[in-house]
Amino acid sequence: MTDTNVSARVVESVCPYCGVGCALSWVVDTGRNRIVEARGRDGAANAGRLCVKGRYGFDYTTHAHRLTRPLIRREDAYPKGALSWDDRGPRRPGGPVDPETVLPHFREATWEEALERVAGSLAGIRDRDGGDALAGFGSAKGSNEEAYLFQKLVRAGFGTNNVDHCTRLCHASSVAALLEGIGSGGVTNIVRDIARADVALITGCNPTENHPVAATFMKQAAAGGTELLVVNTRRPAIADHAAMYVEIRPGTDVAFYNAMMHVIIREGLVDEAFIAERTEGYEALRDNVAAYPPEAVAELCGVSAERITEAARLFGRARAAMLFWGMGISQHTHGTDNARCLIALAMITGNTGRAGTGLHPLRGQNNVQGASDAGLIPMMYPDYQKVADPEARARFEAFWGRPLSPSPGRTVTEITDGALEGAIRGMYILGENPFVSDPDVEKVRKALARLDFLVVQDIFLTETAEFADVILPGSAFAEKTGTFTNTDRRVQVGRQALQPPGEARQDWHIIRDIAERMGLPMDYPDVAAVFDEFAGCTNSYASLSHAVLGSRGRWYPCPDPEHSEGEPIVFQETFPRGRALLVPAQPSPPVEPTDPEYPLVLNTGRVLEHWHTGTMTRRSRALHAISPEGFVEMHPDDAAAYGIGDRDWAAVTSRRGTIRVRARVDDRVARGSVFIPMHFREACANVLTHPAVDPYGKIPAFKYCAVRVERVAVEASA
Amino acid sequence: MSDSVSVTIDGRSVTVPAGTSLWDAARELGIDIPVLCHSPRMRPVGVCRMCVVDTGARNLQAACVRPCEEGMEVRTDSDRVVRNRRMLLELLMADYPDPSAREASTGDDELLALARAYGVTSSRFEGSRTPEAPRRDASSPVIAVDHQACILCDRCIRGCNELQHNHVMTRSGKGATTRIAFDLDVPMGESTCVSCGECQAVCPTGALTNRALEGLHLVEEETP
Amino acid sequence: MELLNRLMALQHRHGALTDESLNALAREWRLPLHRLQGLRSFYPAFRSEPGAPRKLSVCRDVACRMRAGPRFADEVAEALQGVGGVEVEAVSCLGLCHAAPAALAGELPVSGGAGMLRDGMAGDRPLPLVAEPPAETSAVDPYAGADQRFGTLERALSEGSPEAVIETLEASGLRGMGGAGFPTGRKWRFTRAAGGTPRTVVCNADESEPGTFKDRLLLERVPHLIIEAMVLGGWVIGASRGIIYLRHEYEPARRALEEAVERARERGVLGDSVLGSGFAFDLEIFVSPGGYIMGEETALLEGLEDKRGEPRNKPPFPTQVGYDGGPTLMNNVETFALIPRILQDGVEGWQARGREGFSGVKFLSVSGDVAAPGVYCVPAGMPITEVIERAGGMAGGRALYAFSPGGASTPFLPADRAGTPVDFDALARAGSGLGSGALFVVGQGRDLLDLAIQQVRFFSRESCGKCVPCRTGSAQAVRKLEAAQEGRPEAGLTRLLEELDETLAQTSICGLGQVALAPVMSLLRHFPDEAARLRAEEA
Repeated sequence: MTDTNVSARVVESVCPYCGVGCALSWVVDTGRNRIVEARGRDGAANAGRLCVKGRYGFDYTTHAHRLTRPLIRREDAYPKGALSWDDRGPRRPGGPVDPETVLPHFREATWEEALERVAGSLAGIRDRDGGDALAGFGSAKGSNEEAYLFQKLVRAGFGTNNVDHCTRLCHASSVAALLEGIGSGGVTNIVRDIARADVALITGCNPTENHPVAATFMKQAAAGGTELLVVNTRRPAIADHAAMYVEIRPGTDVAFYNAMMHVIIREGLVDEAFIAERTEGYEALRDNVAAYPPEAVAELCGVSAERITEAARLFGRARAAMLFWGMGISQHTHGTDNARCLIALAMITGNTGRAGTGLHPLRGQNNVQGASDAGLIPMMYPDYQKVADPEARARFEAFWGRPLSPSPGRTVTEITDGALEGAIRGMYILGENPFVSDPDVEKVRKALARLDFLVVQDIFLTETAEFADVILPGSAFAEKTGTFTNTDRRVQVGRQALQPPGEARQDWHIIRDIAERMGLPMDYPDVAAVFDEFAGCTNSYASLSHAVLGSRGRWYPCPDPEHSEGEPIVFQETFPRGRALLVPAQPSPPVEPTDPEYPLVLNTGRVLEHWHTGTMTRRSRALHAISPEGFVEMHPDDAAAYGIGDRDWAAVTSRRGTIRVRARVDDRVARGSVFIPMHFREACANVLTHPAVDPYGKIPAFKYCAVRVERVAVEASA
Repeated sequence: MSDSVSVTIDGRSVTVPAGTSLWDAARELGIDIPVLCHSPRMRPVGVCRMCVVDTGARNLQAACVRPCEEGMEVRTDSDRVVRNRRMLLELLMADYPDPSAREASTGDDELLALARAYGVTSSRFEGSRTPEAPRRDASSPVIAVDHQACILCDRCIRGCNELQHNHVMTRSGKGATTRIAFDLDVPMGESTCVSCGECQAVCPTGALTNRALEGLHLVEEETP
Repeated sequence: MELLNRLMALQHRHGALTDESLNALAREWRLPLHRLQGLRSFYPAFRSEPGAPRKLSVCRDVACRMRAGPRFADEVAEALQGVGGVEVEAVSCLGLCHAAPAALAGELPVSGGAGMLRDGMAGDRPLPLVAEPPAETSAVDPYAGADQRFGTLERALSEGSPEAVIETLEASGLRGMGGAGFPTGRKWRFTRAAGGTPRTVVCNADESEPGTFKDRLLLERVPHLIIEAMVLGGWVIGASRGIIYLRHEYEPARRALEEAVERARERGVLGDSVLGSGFAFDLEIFVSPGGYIMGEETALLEGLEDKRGEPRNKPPFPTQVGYDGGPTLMNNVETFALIPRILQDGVEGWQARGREGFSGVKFLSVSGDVAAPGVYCVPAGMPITEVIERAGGMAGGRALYAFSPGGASTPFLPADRAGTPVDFDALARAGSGLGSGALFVVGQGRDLLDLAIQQVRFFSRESCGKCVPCRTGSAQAVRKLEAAQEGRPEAGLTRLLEELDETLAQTSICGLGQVALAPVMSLLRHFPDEAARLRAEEA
């Protein structure tokens, strides 16, 4: 057995995947620089539990596709375009980008050459066209420290606020509504507080697949007596544990919640004292929802007036009710209005500031909360200090020693538009893959191809990297140390377990080296010092440090981290904006209604085993084995109507493109809609999606566009 | 009814809230009572009986499920207790694969560790599995099932149904032919299992193990 | 009850709980599949594939085995080969021990040799239906006519008090007749005092102990006494719901009960206001999906809660935490049936029914080598020898060799202890127990070791499998005993059995495991010739 002996080291870290932020330990084969096993730790968010991704999905780190040297695009590889496959030619089998198809278009370079090229090109555009001709996409998968340094580079080094990340694609509308309504984008109560709720409204989310370990606590609460009120357009598995499941028609959330509030007000189920002491704008809200009796919206929502009334009573009569929502609420052109309704629903029933109550938008990425906290958003400095606020700007100018742009920057989708228009000339993309993740990828492709200069820093060749001039090999989660803030506002340290492969470098080192070459010094002795600088320009993190976070982490705010875990429940007395603002909302028609040519509503989302654009999970042996391909889920009646059987190949077409994908016939999806997961590039849902965005959150409407589905005889592969 | 009770365990007294199990009370005193089925993360079920202690009652009592009673005098390591634990181990070791898949990879097989601690190096019993009963299930890409190493401690079942609430696992059958099973007794890989791995993580034996570790033998480095 | 009732209905309708029907049920009721598999595979009434249209369930336990031999079920199956549409299945004791060898043809109790059963199933001759045994069930019915029934209850409701009922039961010395012998009055007092809801009265009519059939005859013949006592129990403990947990093999008893319940409802004994008192009580009959273990009171409760019938760890006891988490008053059929008589008699009258200081009467199921097997109502304190005489004396001219006074779980005693009086404590002192009152009589020339091993095999087969000692230990014992019976006893077997017996007795969760080896252990103690067969020849 000697040749199979593995010298193992146990490293305490956190899971790299979703916003739940499960604490785990990695067992590291030190001889071969690889993780051999993940074990759940007794973390605040997971109590030792993990899901399939956290437990079995870490081997992407040592996948043969890892980038190990800087790459520079060959002169003959211009003009730019997609390299790995092209819809016009024969299709390749599924799976992540095959480096063999892309690498011939690049040459290896030294770090020195690559960094010089990057800094020189970006500085050149800055100096020629101004800072606003540059933009950066950071990543919610990176640490707080990386996010902080990245936005600092863009703001103080590029001279623009054009910095954003995928929060734009998930909860920007929720955050817009929360900032407007209560003055803070963070959750008010942690997930596990659901155990103390009488009723929990779980809407527009599919937690058993997208927040699996959080879902275990929801199911546990249900088993312990919490009544779950699940509202969705596609039946999520959590509905099996619900006291009541309500299926509404896609895009009718505002009408539905207005009607619920109508009933709650009509039947006197409001918390008058709370409304009087903690809110403003109640009269306007009341007058608005007066126009939405259940009978008036029943047909639109596809729910009987009785069911709406029943749901309202269930929620309204609860002593403590909590609200969870996901991207079924946020990813709409009316996503902000949806979230406004949920906030108002919580407020008029007095459901915040106590145990078992509160607002909890379930965060997607492991650090979407932290990346936003660190200022990776175009209109805010760290800790949500507005760039448009001269005092804040003055503070940061003094702190960073550079003049800063006074105008809020462009969002993700606006940056894409800017690139298409030629206003954005150069970009730095760190760990994001907009080519697959953003709506209407055909448009994204054109935008990326138009850039004068694109540097992509990642661990794999992504579809986005195919458009790069320079590709920089970064480090995987397990190869670096940093802090991550989960959906509960819990700040936890992820610790380095492995060495980056080949010449790949720590991401914060790469940011630093580019910044310094662009004239912005970033002289930190270690990553803990970066945290200290970040924490120093916030209130929320001010009391924290790597040392005090230790192996368990803390919830922020945490005034006394030596003796306290932090605050699991916030805003018990008052909201950051004082009183909560109740904002009335009216239903709006979908931006792309169905019609005879495109008769079905497309809903997109995720599956349990995969993560976003699949760059990590599709390179995990186990996850790929369990879930190897995409699908379009159809109701049996629709499938029959279109002559499509289970596992048949189907062509799904919207006004923006066509994909081919296998059908999965299942009645969890409602009649008249279809569902496609976003992870599979060869069946890329975002070929189909509509780029229209919510006017406030600027979030795209991933959950609604019109498509048609046709059976195709055989898979048209090469 | 009083809110707290005092018991004496191995000659040392401790006062605990009413309803506390003898096992938890002993732990407060730093006395480790051996278990195979119990885990502090789970509802105790008292099925392996390894934690039996002598309370002076007619029968030995399973400490994990026995609430403390005022004035109870408990021995956790009397001859009678040790003798019966050894017999239970001998029964479990009858056809136990040694090394089990867990022992071979991570070296933390709890049954083998207890058998060693109690000096049970051989068993007077033969395997009781019938030849037609399935032994292995390799249908899951991530978890290997070896029914021969299963002692029916129910940790996997509680992990699946009561921690993760995935509701896939059950005891199937009855008596000596009882086995763990998935859904309507289909192979794990064809069941509604979502591969969370909780069953594999909580299994004390080689019954449910991480397939990624097959062929590896981990030797943990000393932490400096 | 809801789910198991539904599964029983599906089983009846389709002859099986197929994957298809369970998948459909899981969808309809939003139940996880594992739960249905757990139930389907646990209860003997369920199967996953349909069998032949007709089933002949042949008893394999001691009374029948002694009469018809160890291969009887096989012989019946062989005889029925070529008779289409019949499936022969060997089953545990059917409570038809007076008619050994016995079987159930569908729901019909039948008795006879393999040839008779074959001809009956084939339709060549009428089915050999079981003849009614001698049964002195009316001895405890205080009512001469049907119109007087429920008079005890009526009087208690109008003039008595719950406290007075409990005091009478306590003073009477009545103990539980299901096997454990717990003082009934004390149980009623505990349950009445326990807080919490729901409050339930349960009649344990899951009589399955080999050799025991007295409850079946009481259910068939005096169901009104059981109903009356359950209503009274409900009144005493403050419960409005009663459940009779009945084994599914007792179809005639179910019909008798159902009819009696209907009559009681008509008379206002059950309903919103029992006999106009304002006290509400109703009861339902739950038909068990099978298994001896369900007679264990907490396994029974698990069954009522639609779970696998695995006994609970105790404490808490059902008097505190029983059905659905509330206090539950659970008594055996006979216990309930005796209560109206006791309350009519009064303490002294009841005590006077016993002999020599023992109080009351006891129903005994007498089977084995006696001339007139049946159910006898004997005065407490009557010596076993006299009970045997009452049952017609020894059959076939055999002398008494051994007897087990209280069912499979009570050790065999040799003939020289047959003077022991019928009483819990006296029989315990003699080295056995009164158990469920199933006197099994073994004459000279019988293979006692085979019978004792069969008892152990019964426990092993009926083990629920929950705890390690019972699940593994009982099966291991059977293997080693079978090897010994075939003439290959291993060295040190008796010592190993002693050790195993201690572990089973000391560490098993419930009584089944605790007594699983008792029948064989009693041979080691009292029957040197049988014990010798378990010892390897020491050279």
